[in-house]
Amino acid sequence: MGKCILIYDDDVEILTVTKIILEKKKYRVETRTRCDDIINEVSFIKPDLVFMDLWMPWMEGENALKQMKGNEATRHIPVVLFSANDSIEEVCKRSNADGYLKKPFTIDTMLQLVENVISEKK
Amino acid sequence: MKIIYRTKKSYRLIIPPELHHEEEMIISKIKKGEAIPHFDAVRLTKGGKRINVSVAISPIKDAEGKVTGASKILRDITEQIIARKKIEESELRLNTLIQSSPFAIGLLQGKDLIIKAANEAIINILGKGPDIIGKPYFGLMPELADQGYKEVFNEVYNTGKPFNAVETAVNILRNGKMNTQYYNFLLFAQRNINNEIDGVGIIASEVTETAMYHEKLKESEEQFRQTADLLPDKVFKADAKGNFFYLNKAWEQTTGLTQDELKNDGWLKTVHPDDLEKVKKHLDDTLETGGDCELQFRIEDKTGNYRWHLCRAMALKEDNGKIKIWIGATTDIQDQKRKEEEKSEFISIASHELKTPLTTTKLYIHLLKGNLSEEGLLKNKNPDQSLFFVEKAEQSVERLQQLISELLDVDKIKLGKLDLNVTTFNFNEMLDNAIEEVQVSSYNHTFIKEGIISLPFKGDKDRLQQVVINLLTNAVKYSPENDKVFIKATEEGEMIKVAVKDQGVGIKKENLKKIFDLYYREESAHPFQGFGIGLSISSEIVHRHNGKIWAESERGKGTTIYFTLPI
Repeated sequence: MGKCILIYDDDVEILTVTKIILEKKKYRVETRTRCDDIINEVSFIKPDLVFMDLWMPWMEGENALKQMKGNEATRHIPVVLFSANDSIEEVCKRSNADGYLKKPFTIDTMLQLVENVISEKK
Repeated sequence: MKIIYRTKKSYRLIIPPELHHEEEMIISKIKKGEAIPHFDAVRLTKGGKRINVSVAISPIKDAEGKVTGASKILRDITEQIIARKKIEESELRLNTLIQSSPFAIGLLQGKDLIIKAANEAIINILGKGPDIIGKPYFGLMPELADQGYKEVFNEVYNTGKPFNAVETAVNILRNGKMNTQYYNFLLFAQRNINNEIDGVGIIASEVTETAMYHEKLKESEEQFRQTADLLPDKVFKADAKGNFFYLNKAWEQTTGLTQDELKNDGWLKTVHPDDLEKVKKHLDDTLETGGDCELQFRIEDKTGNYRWHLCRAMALKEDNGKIKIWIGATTDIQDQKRKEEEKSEFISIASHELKTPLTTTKLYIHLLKGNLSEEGLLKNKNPDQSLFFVEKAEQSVERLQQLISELLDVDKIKLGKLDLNVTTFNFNEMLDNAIEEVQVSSYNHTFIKEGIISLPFKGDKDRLQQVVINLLTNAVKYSPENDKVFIKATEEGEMIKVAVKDQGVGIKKENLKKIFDLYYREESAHPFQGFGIGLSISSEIVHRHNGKIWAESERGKGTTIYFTLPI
């Protein structure tokens, strides 16, 4: 079975297209438009990588990331932030994310980053 | 006596030569038996020094009354003469001083205040001609009595307490004309040798020009204060060392503190603790350089809230560059600051929102490119996928286009250039179209419509549909936990009334009006998609149709947005 990637983004179109791209590379992809139940979802799905959008309704991505990194059961899972927000680099540093992807990005950058982060964690 | 006569020569010795004829006259008088009463003369001493003497001579008669001699008494009066001369000299000097003094000086004698002495200056002021000596003061100056000065003079006469007046207006009749001038004057009791009051002295000087200047200064100061008190800005004046000595009403109104509490450096108490260091440093620097000051900091108002202020101050300097005072004004820029923040947040949201469909467009084009490459064409067994990518890219571009046109609407609203394309259309159909369009992308929500508008409506159909779509989209967006959105349309007299109701998160009461402001975004709305300008665009469109738009809401229970349009 391929590695599993869980993507959080409130924009359905972003979820659709990233899912297509990653599935082409034989990754298993799960998508969510809300991140306020992140601990349960991550514990259940056990992804190898989480993509997290910063601006999410109901709970901000940074907050969800904090919860994940603060939880014994989920903190080992790498998280990549992705957002069109200019402050993403800063947020990435302060929240201990494993990488970031600034929108708009290319397919190659995305796949390269996914590969790097997953192999690093092995 | 005989001896005297016998020594005729010797009495001549003590009489200065120029007085010998006088002595001869005396002798002839004595011979006739007449006495010579005291008279002042000069005699010579042994050493030839001249001394003043008082001389009295009486004839000495025998029993028959025949003059047999003369008794002569001489008293040395040198000292008395010197003293008298000194007094005369001093009086002369005093008189010259009084006469030539630029101050008006007058002496009034007795209870009736008879003018005993008056110099030229007072004669000019009183304006009743030069011959005023010996006249009663208030007989001469009835206009002063009318102004209550008789009582003042009497008080000085009776109590001995001097009366001092500074820059006081006095009306004096001169050449039949009443003149008002300002004087500094002193009234003081005159005493006789027994220390009893026997008159009143006047020393006065005309200070009309100075008084007018001071009056004007006072007036302009008063005007400044009145003007400053009208200003919404917090105006202040400070001395060269930066101590505030004047603060206008706005300071008191904003801070709830009194002038006295704010004075000197009291106002620093109102500065936000985080800004205090910066303010103090800037203050010190400015005081040192004397340059203009411009600084932003927060001031605590009387409700305990800090508001951003812009403080500007400048030094008023003397000719030599020394700082006289500082004047300054502090303006509340909280609203401006908030708008700036909202605007900059809007720009950041706008760029974020534009980047999302841009990302998907780019990615789909990349995917399509991969499919259309030689390698891709060989591998790809599903040509429909390429079509799907194109369609998706097209959708994203449409989303971009929609966002850009919204942005342009913002500009149009700001410039007041939102034009309407007015036609007559079926309002009910327009509502249905809007519901249908929102339904396509809202999988979880049901729209429940109530009421039918049967009348045709004249207005901009597309713009009004944009309003309804916006209200419905918001209703969906803010009620994710509920699946029903209600839309009710009614005809009320000459009006169409539309209500869009959700069962979502609701809006805080204090923000109900703000939600229609451009760039305003509910705090809880921050992470939601969209520019957050839909309501302000809707509001503008409704107002352009001479309608009204408003919101009712309860936190946690949902929001209803109403709009009415005149038919």
